[in-house]
Amino acid sequence: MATLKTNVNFSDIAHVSNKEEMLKLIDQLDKNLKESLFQGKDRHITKARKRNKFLARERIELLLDQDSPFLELLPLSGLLNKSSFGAGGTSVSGIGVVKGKLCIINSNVGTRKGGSIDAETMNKSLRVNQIAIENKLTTINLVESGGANLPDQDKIFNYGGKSFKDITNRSKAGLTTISIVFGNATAGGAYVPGMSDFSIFQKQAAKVFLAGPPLVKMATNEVSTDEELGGAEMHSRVSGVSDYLADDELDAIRIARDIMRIVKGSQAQLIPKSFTEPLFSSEELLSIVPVNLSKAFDIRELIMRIVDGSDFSEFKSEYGATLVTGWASLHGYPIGIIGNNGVIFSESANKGAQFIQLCNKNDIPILFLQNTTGYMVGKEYEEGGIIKNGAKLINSVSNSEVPHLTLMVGNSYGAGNYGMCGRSFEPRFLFSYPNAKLGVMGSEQLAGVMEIIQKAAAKKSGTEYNEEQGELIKQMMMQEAEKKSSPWYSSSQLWDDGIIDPRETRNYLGFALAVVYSRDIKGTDAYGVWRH
Amino acid sequence: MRNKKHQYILKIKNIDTILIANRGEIASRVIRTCNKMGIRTIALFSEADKNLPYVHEADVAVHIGNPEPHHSYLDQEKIIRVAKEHQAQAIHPGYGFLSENADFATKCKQANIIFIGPHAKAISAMGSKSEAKRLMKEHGVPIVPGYQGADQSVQKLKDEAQVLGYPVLLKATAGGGGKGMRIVRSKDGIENAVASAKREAQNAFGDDNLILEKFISKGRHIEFQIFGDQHGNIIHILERECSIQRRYQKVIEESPSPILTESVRNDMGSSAISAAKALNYDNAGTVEFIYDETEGKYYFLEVNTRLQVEHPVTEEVTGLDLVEMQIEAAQGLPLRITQGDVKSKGYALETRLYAEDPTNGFMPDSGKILKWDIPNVDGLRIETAIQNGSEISVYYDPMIAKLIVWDRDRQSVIRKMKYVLRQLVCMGIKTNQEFLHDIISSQDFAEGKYDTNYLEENYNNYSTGNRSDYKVDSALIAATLFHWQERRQNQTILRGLPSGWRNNFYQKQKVTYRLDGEAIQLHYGFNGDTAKMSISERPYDVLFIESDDSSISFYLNGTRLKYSLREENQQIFTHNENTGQLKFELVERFPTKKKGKIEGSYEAPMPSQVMEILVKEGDTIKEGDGLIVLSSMKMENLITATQDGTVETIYVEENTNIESGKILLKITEA
Repeated sequence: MATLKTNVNFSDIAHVSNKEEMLKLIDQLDKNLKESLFQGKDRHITKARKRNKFLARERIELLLDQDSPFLELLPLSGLLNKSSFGAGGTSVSGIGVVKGKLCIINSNVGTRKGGSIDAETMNKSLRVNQIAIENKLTTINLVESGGANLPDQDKIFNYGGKSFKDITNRSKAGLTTISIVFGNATAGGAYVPGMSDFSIFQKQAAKVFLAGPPLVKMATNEVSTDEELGGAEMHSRVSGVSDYLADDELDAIRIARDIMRIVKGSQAQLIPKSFTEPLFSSEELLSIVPVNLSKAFDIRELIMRIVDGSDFSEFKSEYGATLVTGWASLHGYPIGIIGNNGVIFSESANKGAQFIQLCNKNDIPILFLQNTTGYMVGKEYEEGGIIKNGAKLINSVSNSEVPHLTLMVGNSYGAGNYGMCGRSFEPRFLFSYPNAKLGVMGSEQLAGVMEIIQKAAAKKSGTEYNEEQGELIKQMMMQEAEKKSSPWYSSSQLWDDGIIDPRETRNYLGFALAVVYSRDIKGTDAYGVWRH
Repeated sequence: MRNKKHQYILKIKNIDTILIANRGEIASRVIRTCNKMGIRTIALFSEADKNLPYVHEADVAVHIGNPEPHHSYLDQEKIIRVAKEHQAQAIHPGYGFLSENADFATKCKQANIIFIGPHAKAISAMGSKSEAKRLMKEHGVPIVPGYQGADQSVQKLKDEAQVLGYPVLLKATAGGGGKGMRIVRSKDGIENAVASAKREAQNAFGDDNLILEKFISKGRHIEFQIFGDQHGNIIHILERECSIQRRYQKVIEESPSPILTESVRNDMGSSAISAAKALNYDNAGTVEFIYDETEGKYYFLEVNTRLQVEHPVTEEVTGLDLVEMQIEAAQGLPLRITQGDVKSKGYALETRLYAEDPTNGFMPDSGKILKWDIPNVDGLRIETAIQNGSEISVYYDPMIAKLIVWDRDRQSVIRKMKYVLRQLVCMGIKTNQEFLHDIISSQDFAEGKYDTNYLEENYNNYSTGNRSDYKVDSALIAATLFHWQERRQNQTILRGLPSGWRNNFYQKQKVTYRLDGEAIQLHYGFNGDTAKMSISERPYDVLFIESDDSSISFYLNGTRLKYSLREENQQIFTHNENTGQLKFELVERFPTKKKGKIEGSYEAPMPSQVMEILVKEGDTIKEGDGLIVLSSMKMENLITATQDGTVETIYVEENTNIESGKILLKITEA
């Protein structure tokens, strides 16, 4: 190992102003996160309080072990989507510790829109399910939901079924799902507890049936009450849909915690005993990581502020300099790191592919630090086989079987996003800095390319190109592309699992590593065909 | 000459093994001197005492029976049999139990065992308070006017009381230590007082005879240590002042008395010797006087024919070993010192640490001592029955320890005692530690201005004065930090993350305590080892320093504090030298459901014996009526009705032992 040394002069004006800019973005992040805390209108909350109900986030706090950390996932899903319920939707999801064991927690926000599920909330739950199955985590559902948001039913119905399939697939895979029903879980929603390994129904609160009294009356003319059709007592004593009858919310949560005692936890031998802190302060990342993405920075300055003891064993440091590769540990967990120092050349791509193979051979997870405008273009590089070399990197990323973590710290454009394990390459977790941007290409380039194409088209058809109108279109396009490349848009679309304050990088990654390391890691030696 | 010396040596009895017919601190005390003298010790222990230190300190320890004293420490035949079996030539009775039982002394003699104490006649003469007073009067010792007759009828006692004039004092003829003692202030109270004093006397001493005395309301209790040998030598070993008493139970003792002039001291000393001579006294004893400060007069109260609880005070100022002197006197050796050799040096002060709640009528407490830690102070002597983890049982006296300090002057002694009472850690049960500290710290005590009513007049409704927010908050913070540290230690995964880390805005971590029935919430958030804590909007900066299994150090707003801390069954006990002790409850996050209290039911407030059930099922009762008499640590506790109604069910029987919280009976409301 070698301890990294910093080359940053923090007193220079560029770094000072960068910090100011970054703090502004963090303010924006905090503002957006505060939006995600909305748990419904006051009158709904007052009503819940009167009925001695806890709110969705309070239930999570009660369920978690005292002092344990909690990683909320996708808190900004739907943030910019005007037709959705807004930041986070009607569920709070994350990973926490219950009885010393990591587990996924999903909590319906029953006080917001009755906990009904819009398209973004459903997508969020599908993503969280994916995290559960990939990382072999127990899932605890805190259920209080009116089911599908009917105006969104077209967007939900077809894909929504997967959430039930996920529950039973997890069960088959040896993973446990526990559902506590605090209120409504009707129609399709009834299958959430219905398919769980363990179900806990709260007395005088759980309402679990396929059809409520009005629909039953319509269908069969039978007259019935909520309690008769789907009360906790009936399901616990008669139908057997409920495994545990809880007296109240606290009792229900206590039962779930009790069940967690028998559920499999992380493998103890994989948990590190000790580690050292980095030598450099994470606070300095605010000055170092450029808000202006046209400014380059050495990715090692980030690495030394997040890895244990700022120790980094760099691999092939003299070759393919725009891709930095090497090994380190974080919270004691061994990791391989691939970070961009700008555009990817053939050498960089080849080096990355080799490094991924080595990590697989040694069963070490890989952290991708994305800051690239893509693969190098131009005659020389095409001749040099940038396509086949870039493909090699994408090939190895795609087939690698060790866990991947991706952090977007700046640019993420073109196939560079793919080679560096973007969303579609299914890293176990993907987080973005608030300054990060992504897209097929930069918004300026995109608008410029469009302008060239349109001019060419005008020339071909013999029509006159209207410069004034063209400029207007170009500006609009640039604005639109700029907006859609922002991390806020990205997070709103669930393209990442959350936007993070750079100072918290080590905490996020340490948490993610504890999750991926909860079971044995096994790499692969099988890849697709590539050209040499 | 040679022959005479030989004869003398033959008269000296051999003692190489002593059986100690007692328990607790006094057993340890006797063992210590025996070890010094090379004498084997045989200890006795009841079922309740099997883990006390003295059992392990003795060379041999014998299980003597069930906890109830009459099955153990009062079972004379069994004790003598054990002494014989283990070749003990002598029995040391300590104080209490059989120490002033002439019958037992006689039985020992018959069994050819030396009873380490005065001869039986002296015991029986002084054992009867009435006879004692008569005898003293004959020998010119001033006595308090009173009635000591054989007619024990209530009417006779009532008539005599009328003659003396109220207030009068009822005392058990056989008694000591305040048992069976009652002040009666008017004729209305006399019948009840006689009945209960007789019951208590019968229970404590097996003898319900009472004497009556004129009650001297402003007296000081000054006693003289006396010592005699079998050769007719008698000396007094100066005084102890024991006026700080509560219900005739001494709480603080000191020597010399802060108010005695040399001439009064000489007069009282002479009277003490006269008293001893009247009895042909031949061992350790104490002549108690009441000293009327306003008139400068003193009166004989009684002679205690045993080693006193407070004997260390005398030992500290004279440098003598009274137990050694007792053993030598019992062997028939002459006193090694004469009256002229008795010199007092410096000051000694003793406080008695009791398991009791001064803020709740001094209700005795029982239970486990979770932590016992003695400060390191030069000149501090601790006589105790206990160690970490010992049980204070309901069967015996609730005294935990005697704390004795010596120094050259009274001011220094008081300062040291204050320090000891601040630093001493005794956790797990309620004690009078802060109460003692408060008395010692008072201006009155500093000036020696107190009499036997002092506590009653000044500390009747005692409450711990300094229960400030700071005291409570800092104790709760100590407990929170201690538990946090424990969880942190036991944490396996995510150790690298800050405690309670969140990536979105959430409430801080929360913990709820219950103090005197009131729920108190503490919120906290950590950053490394530093925490922001708040209680009722009062913010604190807290920095963890270190902890072990029963203590924690931390900075609270920049000041380093150390707390001792133990817990049992969700009860948390804390001690800090500045803020003292505090006991509170951790409210579980998920309370286990408890059975609700049955309406109209009455529970035992502490582990007790059911002495008497005053009602029967079906009785109609009024609010305030007595229902059941419980006894705990020899103190009676009357359970009274809190409402009018009918007795529906009685759940307990007389003469049974019951646990704290046991439902006694149920009343249907009228």
